[in-house]
Amino acid sequence: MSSAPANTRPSTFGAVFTRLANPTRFLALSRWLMPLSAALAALLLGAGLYVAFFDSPPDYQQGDTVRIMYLHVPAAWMALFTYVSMAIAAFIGLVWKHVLAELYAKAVAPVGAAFTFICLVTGSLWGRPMWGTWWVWDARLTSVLVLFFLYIGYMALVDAFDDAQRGLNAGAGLLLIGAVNIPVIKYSVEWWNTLHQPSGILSMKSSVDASMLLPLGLMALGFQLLFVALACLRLETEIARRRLAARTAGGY
Amino acid sequence: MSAFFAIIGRDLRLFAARGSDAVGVLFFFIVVVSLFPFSMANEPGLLLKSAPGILWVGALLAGLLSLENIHLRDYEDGTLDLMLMSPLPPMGIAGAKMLSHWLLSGAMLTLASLPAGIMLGIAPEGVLPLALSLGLGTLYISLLGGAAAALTFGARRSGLLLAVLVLPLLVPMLILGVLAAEASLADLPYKAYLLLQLALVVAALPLAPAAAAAFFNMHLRSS
Repeated sequence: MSSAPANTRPSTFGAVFTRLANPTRFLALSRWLMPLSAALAALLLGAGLYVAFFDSPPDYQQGDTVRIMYLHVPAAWMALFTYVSMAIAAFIGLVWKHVLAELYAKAVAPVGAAFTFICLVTGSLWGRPMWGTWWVWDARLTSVLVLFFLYIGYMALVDAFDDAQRGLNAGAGLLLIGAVNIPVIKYSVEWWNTLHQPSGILSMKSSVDASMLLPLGLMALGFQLLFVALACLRLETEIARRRLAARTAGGY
Repeated sequence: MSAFFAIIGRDLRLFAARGSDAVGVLFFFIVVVSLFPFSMANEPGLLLKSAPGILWVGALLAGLLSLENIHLRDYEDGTLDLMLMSPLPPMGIAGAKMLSHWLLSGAMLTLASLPAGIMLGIAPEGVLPLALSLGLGTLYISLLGGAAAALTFGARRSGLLLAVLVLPLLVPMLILGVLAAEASLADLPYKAYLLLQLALVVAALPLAPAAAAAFFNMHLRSS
């Protein structure tokens, strides 16, 4: 029902924003952006993993287990980044009927859920030697777990409709409710219980040594590029699926 | 305003005529709560310690049980379309539905928590703060759940889906409610937690009906 309008009006968001509403233009962009970011991600993640595992010092307290951080922290960042980007896309999709923004949230939800899952698993593996237990009901763990539930709920809702467009709309509504609630959830669990160390990269810049920031930065950038590649790939798939449905059923 | 109360009155009369739904929710709550003593080690004090959590989880589950029907029946038989044509704005309709849902589930659960709390070993004077926290919490369930229920019109297995969507969003309320109840049981000041609960309810009071109204429009346009 919503195909790209033929004459896109220029908006305050600039030409890029409106140009991308046309799936064909996006596909042209994605044709080189996807392989490029995938190659760069492979390069950065390869280098990052090498430095993280073989060429960075063990922590003076945590020993070698600190290397888990190089996976855990970027995954946590991406988990939050993906959800926020989905909520923004949902807003743009609902307000401006931006076709690509509507599809974006659905396309990247499993990617975000996977990042959240990686964060939970690596956190659990890190918690075992550090805190002596696989899982504690600590504030930050719990809020990441709730974030994971929000991803699962979103994916279940989008898939629950026979009419795909209705699923996208309902999902966008849920994302906006969730975005309003995320800060509340975060503060409430912090009052409730906290054992986790405070996040230490931005708040105490000086306390993390440069030799550890290098692999962390490489991994974070690699994860980000991996996300771009996966997002492009999944958006291409969604566009293809939508066109296929339009062709076979005479409507989407 | 009269249309607002007419909707609430209609729901109450429907309940008086049919009954089953809200009574079922109430019994579900009592049965769930009374199952906990069987499932826990027979240790003195343990039951009393877990009483706030038991009552809260019981109320959450019971509240969710009835959420699916908050708008669904009206949506399916066309009543909702007629109500949306009335001069009352959609936000008012959503608010009235949420309030009548709370009267028929949350308020009853709150009353039922008084005897249920005493059965779990809470002293009679400790039950009141707990009931207050449950009253605020169930109101929040009705508000948030009413907005989420408007999202699931036309979805498959919408009841199960609704629980998955709403439960994570209720975590803050659960935490504050249990903290309030536990503080009152330990003779600590609990008013701050109740006020924080109230803050959440007050924030949801305009936002949730507004969101539900937007979702009504979304579905009417696409169906």
